Amino acid sequence: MPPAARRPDDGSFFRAPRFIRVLFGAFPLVTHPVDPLPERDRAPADENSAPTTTLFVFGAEDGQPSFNPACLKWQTYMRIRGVDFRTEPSSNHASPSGALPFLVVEHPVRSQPPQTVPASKLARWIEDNAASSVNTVDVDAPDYRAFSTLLDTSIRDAWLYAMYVDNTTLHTVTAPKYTAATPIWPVTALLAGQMRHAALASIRNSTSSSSAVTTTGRTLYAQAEDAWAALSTLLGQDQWFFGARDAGLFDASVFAYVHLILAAESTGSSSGAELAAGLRRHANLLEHEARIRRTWFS
Amino acid sequence: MELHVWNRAFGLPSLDPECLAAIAFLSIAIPHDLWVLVESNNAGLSPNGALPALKDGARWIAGFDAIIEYVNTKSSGRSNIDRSLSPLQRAQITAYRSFIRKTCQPIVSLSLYVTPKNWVTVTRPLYSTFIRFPLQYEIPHTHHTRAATLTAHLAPLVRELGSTGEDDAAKQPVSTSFANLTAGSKSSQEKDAAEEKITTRVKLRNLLADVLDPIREKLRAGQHRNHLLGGSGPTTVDCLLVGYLSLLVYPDLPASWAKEIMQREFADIVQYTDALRPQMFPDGVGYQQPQAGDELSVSGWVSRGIEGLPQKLLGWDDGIPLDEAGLKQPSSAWVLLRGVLGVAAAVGSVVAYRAFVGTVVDVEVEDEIGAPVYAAATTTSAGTKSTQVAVGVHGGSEEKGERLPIFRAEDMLGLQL
Repeated sequence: MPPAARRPDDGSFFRAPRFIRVLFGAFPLVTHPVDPLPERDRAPADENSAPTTTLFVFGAEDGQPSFNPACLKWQTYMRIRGVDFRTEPSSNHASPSGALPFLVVEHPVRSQPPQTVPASKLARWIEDNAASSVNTVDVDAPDYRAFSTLLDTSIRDAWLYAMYVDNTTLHTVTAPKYTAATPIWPVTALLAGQMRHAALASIRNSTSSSSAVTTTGRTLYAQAEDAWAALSTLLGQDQWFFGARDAGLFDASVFAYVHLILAAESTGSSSGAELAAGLRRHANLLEHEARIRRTWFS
Repeated sequence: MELHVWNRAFGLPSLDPECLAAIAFLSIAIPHDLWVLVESNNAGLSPNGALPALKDGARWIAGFDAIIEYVNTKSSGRSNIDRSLSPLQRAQITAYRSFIRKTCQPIVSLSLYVTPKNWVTVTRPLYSTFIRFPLQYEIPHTHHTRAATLTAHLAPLVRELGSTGEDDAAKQPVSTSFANLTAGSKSSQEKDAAEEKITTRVKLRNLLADVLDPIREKLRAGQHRNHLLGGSGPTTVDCLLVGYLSLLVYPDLPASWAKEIMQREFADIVQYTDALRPQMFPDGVGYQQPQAGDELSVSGWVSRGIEGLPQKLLGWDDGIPLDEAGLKQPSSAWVLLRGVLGVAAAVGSVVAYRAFVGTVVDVEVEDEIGAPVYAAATTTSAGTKSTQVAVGVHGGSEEKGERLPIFRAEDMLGLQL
């Protein structure tokens, strides 16, 4: 027979020992007031007001240019096309597809759920929702396809090398920007290591190095330099690429890299300077960057 | 000058698109008596670890782009086949080179290396015809791995290519297929397989059209339809393009989707390749055996392999050095340490593998009664033919006479039952 059952004050075998009952009796320590039910931060607007459009990007406080080329490309293109939107600093953990940028359109009417547009569908969304553009460059034209691969291969590889593989730049410039949300030592170091690893894998699997097994940073910079020379010749004395009458998606893509490479140079890092050296020789590309910056980012 | 390339194959002077492009360029640009082709198959010779590589005296120049630049400077512009182009066309050359590489590399890899039927029956056996014993396993394997990473973004298509029709029969339950119970529904299964093939074929067609549509448009736009940039002579872009396209058009493969789609829908591009082929891969090219020290040797490969072992086994990544000095910087002590680490890791993995596998193999082989069952079971798992399984089960006594081989390849792969 268990000893607990003999006690007159408790009738149950399952009763907890006294000190546990005292300890548990002390809880809850504090009872907070009940939270109000979730509510939109804006007052219910009138049904005819326009939906709010938010582009989630890396960085870009107060509409400043983002520090990520892909984000800046779309940010610029949406400005060029006159879409009314605001940017929200974010991280890729927030994105439904795992990649930034993405767009959220919130309708003033509560019954309609917000619409989320991932980066891969942004071009289509802008085409459907923005005012039509006078830039009628055929994006399927052979030359357009060929010259845009330059940005995706040579220039992107050199950018990745300078910003992520070069250890000094990675730890002084790149990692602090991308890990601004959690500036705690082990987290930043781990994330920096992961980014570097991903960049190395991306450069190794890139096709621009033409199946080379071992490549060097200088080779990558030289390839980027050739690419800038080609783009500079393509632009010539025109205002916009392919002789268009207004800036287009291609102009936005080129601007994203040129602007960020010049920004990297101004941080004083040696790899940034080396990356920008190949670009500095082409005055028309620098003017093109200044033209877009003055028109849409001032 | 010696041009070191991968071996000839498929009636072409090399099996690698970049090597083909380099051969095409030299054939057009400089007289045949100034250079020879060396099928050294030794990527370790090249400064960037990949062929093609040009050897001029003691100098090594690696890669298609660098070879062009070197030959042009050496001949002070006389062999420059791009010299008559306008500045814009020169810019296009840079752009189209990267476009062709980016789009064609995955397709060529998919066709020759990643499509399982082609890899198993054609490409892998091909390597063992020109590489000797230990290396004939390692080198094709590294090429296959690279091809797989290049086609990683096409994963669904790769899976579909791997599961085309025929091996479905083996996946049926033994009982039903043995009694032919599923004969009625087999036609519908075949229909499924055929339909699957049509959707796969459409995806492959779109993949090819992604490259060939712009190329076709560009060819039509020029005055001279046989050259991509419309000039009167072929340019370096034509060399590169023919290098890639000929590996799609000429090889006879069991899964010949690339050839079929191109002949049916892109006949004009096949014609373009046909027209440039005699000029770019002429018969009169001189061949030469690799000089002493340049041939592919086991010792050279092993010493490079040991140096690279820590990275392979421990996932250690040195990164990419800034310049050539960084590439050769490691001191001998560092290399030695890495070698020791690599050997230790290799020995350790062999010991661990034997400790893990050895005991199980012994039991299987020593067990006399278990032998026929083991034999029958292995045939089932191999899934060759259901009828064989029936023989294995019912006629076990017939097989008992045969001795079980002590060593089985399956055991080496760790496919224990």
